[in-house]
Amino acid sequence: MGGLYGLLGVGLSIQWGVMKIANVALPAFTFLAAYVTFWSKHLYDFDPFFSIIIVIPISFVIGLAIYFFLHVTKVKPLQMLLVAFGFLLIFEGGMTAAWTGDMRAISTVYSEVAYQLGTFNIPLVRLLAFVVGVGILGLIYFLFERTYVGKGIRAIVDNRTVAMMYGINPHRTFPAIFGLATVLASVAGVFVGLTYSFTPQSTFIWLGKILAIVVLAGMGSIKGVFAAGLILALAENITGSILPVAWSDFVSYIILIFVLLIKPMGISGRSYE
Amino acid sequence: MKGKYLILIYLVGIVVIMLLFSLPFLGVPSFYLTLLTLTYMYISLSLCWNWLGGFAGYLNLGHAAFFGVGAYFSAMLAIYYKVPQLLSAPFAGLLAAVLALGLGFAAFRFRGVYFGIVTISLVFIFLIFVTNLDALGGGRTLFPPPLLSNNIVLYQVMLGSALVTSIVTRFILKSKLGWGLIAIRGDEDTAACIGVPVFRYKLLTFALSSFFAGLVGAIYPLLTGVIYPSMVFNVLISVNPVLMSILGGTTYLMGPVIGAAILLPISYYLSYILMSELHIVLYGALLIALVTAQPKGLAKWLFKETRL
Amino acid sequence: MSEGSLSKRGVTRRGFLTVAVSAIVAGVVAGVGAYYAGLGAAGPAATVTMPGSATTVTRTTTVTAPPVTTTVTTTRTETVTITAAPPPSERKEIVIGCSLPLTGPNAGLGTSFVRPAYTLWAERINRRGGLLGRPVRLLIYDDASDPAKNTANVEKLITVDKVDLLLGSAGSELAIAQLAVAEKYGYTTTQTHIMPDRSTWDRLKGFKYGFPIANMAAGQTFEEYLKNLLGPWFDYLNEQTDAKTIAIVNGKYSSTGLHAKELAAEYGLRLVYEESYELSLADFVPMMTKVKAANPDVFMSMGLIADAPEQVKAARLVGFNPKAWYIFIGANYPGYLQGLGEAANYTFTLCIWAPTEPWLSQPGVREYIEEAKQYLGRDWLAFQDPMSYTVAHIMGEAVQEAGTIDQEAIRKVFSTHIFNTYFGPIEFQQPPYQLAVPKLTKGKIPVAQIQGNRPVPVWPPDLAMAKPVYPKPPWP
Repeated sequence: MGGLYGLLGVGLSIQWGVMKIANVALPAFTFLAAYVTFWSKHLYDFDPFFSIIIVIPISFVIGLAIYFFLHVTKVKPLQMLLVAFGFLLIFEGGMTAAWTGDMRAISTVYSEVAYQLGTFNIPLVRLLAFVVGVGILGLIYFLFERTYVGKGIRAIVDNRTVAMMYGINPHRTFPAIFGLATVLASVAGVFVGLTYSFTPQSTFIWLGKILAIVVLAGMGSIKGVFAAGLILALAENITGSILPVAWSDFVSYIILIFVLLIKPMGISGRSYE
Repeated sequence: MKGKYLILIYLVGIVVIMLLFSLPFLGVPSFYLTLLTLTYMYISLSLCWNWLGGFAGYLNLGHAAFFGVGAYFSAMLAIYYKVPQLLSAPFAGLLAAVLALGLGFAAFRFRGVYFGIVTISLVFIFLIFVTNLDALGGGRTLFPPPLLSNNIVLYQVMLGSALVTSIVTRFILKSKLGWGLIAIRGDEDTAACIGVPVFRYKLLTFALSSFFAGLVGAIYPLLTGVIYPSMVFNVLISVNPVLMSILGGTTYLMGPVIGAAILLPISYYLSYILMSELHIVLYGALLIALVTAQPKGLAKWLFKETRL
Repeated sequence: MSEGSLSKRGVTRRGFLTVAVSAIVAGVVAGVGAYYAGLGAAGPAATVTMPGSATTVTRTTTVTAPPVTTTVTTTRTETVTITAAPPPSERKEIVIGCSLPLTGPNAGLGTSFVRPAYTLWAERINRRGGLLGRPVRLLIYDDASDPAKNTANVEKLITVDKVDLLLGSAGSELAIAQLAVAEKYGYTTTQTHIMPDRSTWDRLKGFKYGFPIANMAAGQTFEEYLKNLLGPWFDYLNEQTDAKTIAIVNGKYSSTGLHAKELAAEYGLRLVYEESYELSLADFVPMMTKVKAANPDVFMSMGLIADAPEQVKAARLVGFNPKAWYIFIGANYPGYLQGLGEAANYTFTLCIWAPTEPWLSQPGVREYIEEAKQYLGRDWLAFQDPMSYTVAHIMGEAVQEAGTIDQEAIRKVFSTHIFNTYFGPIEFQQPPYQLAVPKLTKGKIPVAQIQGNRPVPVWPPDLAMAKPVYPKPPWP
């Protein structure tokens, strides 16, 4: 579960921290992907993992399109919020109109498989989500920290002018990153669709949680996102087992505020503000 | 030179306001009254949000939390002690303000984006809290009786609150508080250096803003006669005033008014014209279009000199 | 406003206070005056907007002579056409307005069940020549599951669009908000998709113009209603099974679960676990772990539609296999019936209606089922389909019976007439709770069990189509 949360948060974290674009429409992509997965299974009996392959290029393209729109219109950060919200509404409305407001759930052959680990029950799907989540996060981390491209990106964020002096061109890399983040959100969506039921309204419901993950992590920090996802997921599960389940969300937010009070920049302490 | 026009503007303004107050008695169909009532409500919410949001630059996404507090406070008093909401509304506002003061101590440890996140989580926290408290209905729908009010009274009250918030806005702008806030938005640390009591001002504005949120919130359930947690502790209620203010222009006095006056009726009429779920798509598209067309706010087209 | 001067002189307290106080005083005076003016103004304003109200008096006298009624009806319709304003030119159609949740939390109800039901009805009736010889036109507004929007929409429908008839919304809060508005303007309306708990029940009292259908269960007190709604289930458990312990989980949007608890106790079942969870809960695994530990014979879930399959999934994951599994609402949806596959079977649920006996042999049902399936593009129907349809259906029948679209006349029909619906004959109770009573099931709700991925009524025996299976075999 932690892995899934991490995955959900990393897209937004990148866009926000690295590129200062508060794209609150990202969760919409998550659920758009969930819907795509559902329909491909329902209509063509595609395996969800197969859907990932479909989802990746599509979301990348859409992400690029949105980036260029934002770039061309030279939107300021404050207005960005509005614009992103506008996109969110467009996606949500589109999904409701196209696929009705019904609740959907994806069920596959391996949906109910679970492993016993001592007293713990580990559902296969969640395990997969975790593995994929960690894998992707690890990949991104590697990308950012070790590769040339990644370092270039971080250089731009730290000091744009100097970076440009060194020949790093933000205009090439930014669209790619934006697209990448979109892809990440979508992949997360595939797994969300597998694990939970969803409706077009799910975007709104999850928005708060995803924001919490991102902030808890600290903007732009990959390690942080991972840790944050884990912590929140763990907290939810534990509270759910002890207290009436209703309080588990509550506890997540309390944890968020607590951590922020101690470390205003999130877990990793890094911020690209 | 401008003096003459100034008086004219004020005169026209007063006539318009008197007209608005008398609208319910002119045989206007009830629907328009309700629509206007809601518009006035959002005007009030947008204006008071803008004190902290536009003037000081602190994106408060927790407006709905105080709105909801006010709503439940008055609703509970109405249900159990038969206290008319209109009477308890100012106290609801007071309660919201006090809460804001208290929460502000923690919230203002953060700035910018983080402040937004913390405040938005307030909404969720309150939502969960209220939903789980059986004393407050435990998440069920409750029916506060419409004591001492009817459609027309509601209309006048909301119009009144829109006016009052406008007036307060104007006074804030011309006061030391107002300049202090603008300085904070410019550069908080510098402002502190030159002697602006930054923390005090922020807290005061937060409390003032939440007062009106709570006040208006107390009256809202009267419109429909129902109340349940997700009706008032709703992110949309927090976000809409933000959108309206930004659209109208946060740096203009009338910005939030224009934003609210445009967005609210449009959000309703779109669904009348389209009669399907697509109206949300159009609404989103419209938002994007308007914002990109005039990033500084629509008020720029109307007011040339009221910028801050 | 244009005084952007750099004067740093703050506003004097006195100046501020005077203006503020006078504004508030003015507001209060206006408000108080408005209140009393409003009380007086409400009278005349209402009569102006009500189409055809002037003709009511004439009507009552002519009803007594049957042969005369026909001629009078035609004249009346014309009069009504003229007084019902926009479009000002002769309005040949009958305009029926409704505000439905097409987006927001209740969007599923609105888009999947209610809207198609209404449009299907309109299509069918127009095919047969319309209502009172006039074609029917639907005016559907989206209220985004927001009571404020619903109120505004209904007001627009009534006062601006001046619709002839008003049909119900979907979802308890919306329905009740709408009943209140309709009552204010004297529009007879019927609503469904109302799930009463004790507080909403009180709110349903005393409506003169509102005839709600509350899940096809009846009662003049809440206890009665509850017994008719859930009673048959507990009856079954008592008489046919050896179940002794029960776990109840309740979605916090309604306290029906709490009431289920009371009823369970009355029937002698011991509550070993209970929990109230809230709307946004997505992960039921922790809950199921706890329930499993309590080891109940029966698991009863009173949650949201979306929760039902999640709970089953979670139960399977933790290996929780009670002897009986009961889902209050949510087992009729594709997300459950198809989404869960084999696991959906043997779940008990409310059987408000099913495409089987005893409803199948009611007049018009087979035809409806065929047409509905085709119209909706599905091969299954849940009870919400005919229930939504019935709202429009009985409104139409009431109008036919009354011979006019005068609200008073329609209201009288609703109070006294026995309607022929796909639920069998239905009549409405006398005030104060004008609920619908399906005579076929005597106002009670039978219990169904999912067998072969379809809900089949299994209790009480005179309505059963199959034998119930107990205990439930473990999850596949």
